Amino acid sequence: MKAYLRAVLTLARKDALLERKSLETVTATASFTLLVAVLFHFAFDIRSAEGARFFPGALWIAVLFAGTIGMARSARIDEVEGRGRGPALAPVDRSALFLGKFLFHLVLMLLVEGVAVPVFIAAFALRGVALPHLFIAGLVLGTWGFVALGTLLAGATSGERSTGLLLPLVLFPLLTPVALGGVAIVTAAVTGDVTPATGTWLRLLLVFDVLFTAVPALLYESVLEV
Amino acid sequence: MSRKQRVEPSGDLLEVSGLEVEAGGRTILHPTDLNLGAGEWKAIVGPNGAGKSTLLKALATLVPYRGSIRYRGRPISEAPLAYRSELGVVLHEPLLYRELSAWENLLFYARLYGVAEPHAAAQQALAEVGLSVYAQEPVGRFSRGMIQRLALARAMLHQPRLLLLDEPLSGIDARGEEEILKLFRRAKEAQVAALWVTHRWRVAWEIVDEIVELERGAVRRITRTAGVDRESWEPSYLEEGAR
Repeated sequence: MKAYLRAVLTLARKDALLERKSLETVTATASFTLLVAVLFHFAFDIRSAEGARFFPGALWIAVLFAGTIGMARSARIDEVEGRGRGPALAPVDRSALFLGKFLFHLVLMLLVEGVAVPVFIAAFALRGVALPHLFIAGLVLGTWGFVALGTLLAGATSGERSTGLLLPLVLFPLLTPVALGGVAIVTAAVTGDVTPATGTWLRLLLVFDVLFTAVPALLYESVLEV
Repeated sequence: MSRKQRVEPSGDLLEVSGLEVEAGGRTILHPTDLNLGAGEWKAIVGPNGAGKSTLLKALATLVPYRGSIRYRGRPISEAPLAYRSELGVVLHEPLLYRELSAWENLLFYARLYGVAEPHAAAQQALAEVGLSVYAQEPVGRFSRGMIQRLALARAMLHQPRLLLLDEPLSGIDARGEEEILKLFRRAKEAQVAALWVTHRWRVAWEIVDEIVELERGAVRRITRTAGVDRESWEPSYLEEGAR
């Protein structure tokens, strides 16, 4: 188990090192997210009362689109000269390859969200978030499920010439529960209007996260065609 | 004549039977049998498209295959991690990250393979392929030969017992080639076994015990190198071409 965890961390650290050298993925995802915040701000002439209504949907749209761009790019890096095969030769269960990539994507997206959320709050003229803990829980659980499924599908489509087009087409329909749940929880956290449905969405996201982390880990070997 | 020192195989390390690979509805490798003892080296030769690289990829468990591969008497599917921990692979692609330095690449692989002292192992591997002075250079700035040397260092970093080498001398200059051949001789003396895909059988001749000729995905002929004159031997596909 210790060796397995060490392999997962080593793989995630390698991706972080590659990213630190280029900063391409973080720049692309952060720029896209911030651009959405600015566009929404000017397009809808948002004032405080309306801001709370639009904020959750706009935030999730930005996160999902920016994350998809980032994961597609990250998966393509491993396609260059077939170098994703190198780690597949190592004496570790190949599910570690998925979890290492997933961990890197998750940390990257949470960092981007850490920068984007204050900007979105300002752009949507919110005075703050009524229930910060619920807000963080909703954002983290939603991002977790999105990144887990996205990592699997980005890996599966990375060999295709039209990855950039194919990934969102395959990914977004499957992400419907994450998008709906994420928006519902963030709305409840921003307005402070918690209903029994909020708890149901939290549980649903949790189940989605566990399922879409465990299943891809088991499937990743066949996804890589190794 | 060659200065060959024969190392008698001490039982089969690798036993391959009925190994078959298909891709896109086409058979790339027909059912193939192959055995390799500890310390035994075999060259795989054949024309382009003969299935040489596919054979190595199947043995490296990088492509789906049918048939049986046994390592140390056990099917590799029963203990894939134990098998891969003793396997060193050089493919056409160097499997290196061009954005990272040579040192960072080797350190990454050493950690991934669970090498006990990754820094020392990376340092030694770089020294063995003569790249110590370029350790901090990004691999993207390396020449083809330097990348190939680093790919060898990556493959041998964890002290494998079985090497799968696909054109390992490709792009390496004459001096570098002699250094790599010395490295191979040392590995052989240490009872490391290898399958070496090459078009340069005369260079491999000094080290390998057998030459296995593949053609159209099937074994065509096997030649024991001991007692055969290197200069007069030709692969069958070239002999036929000359006729």
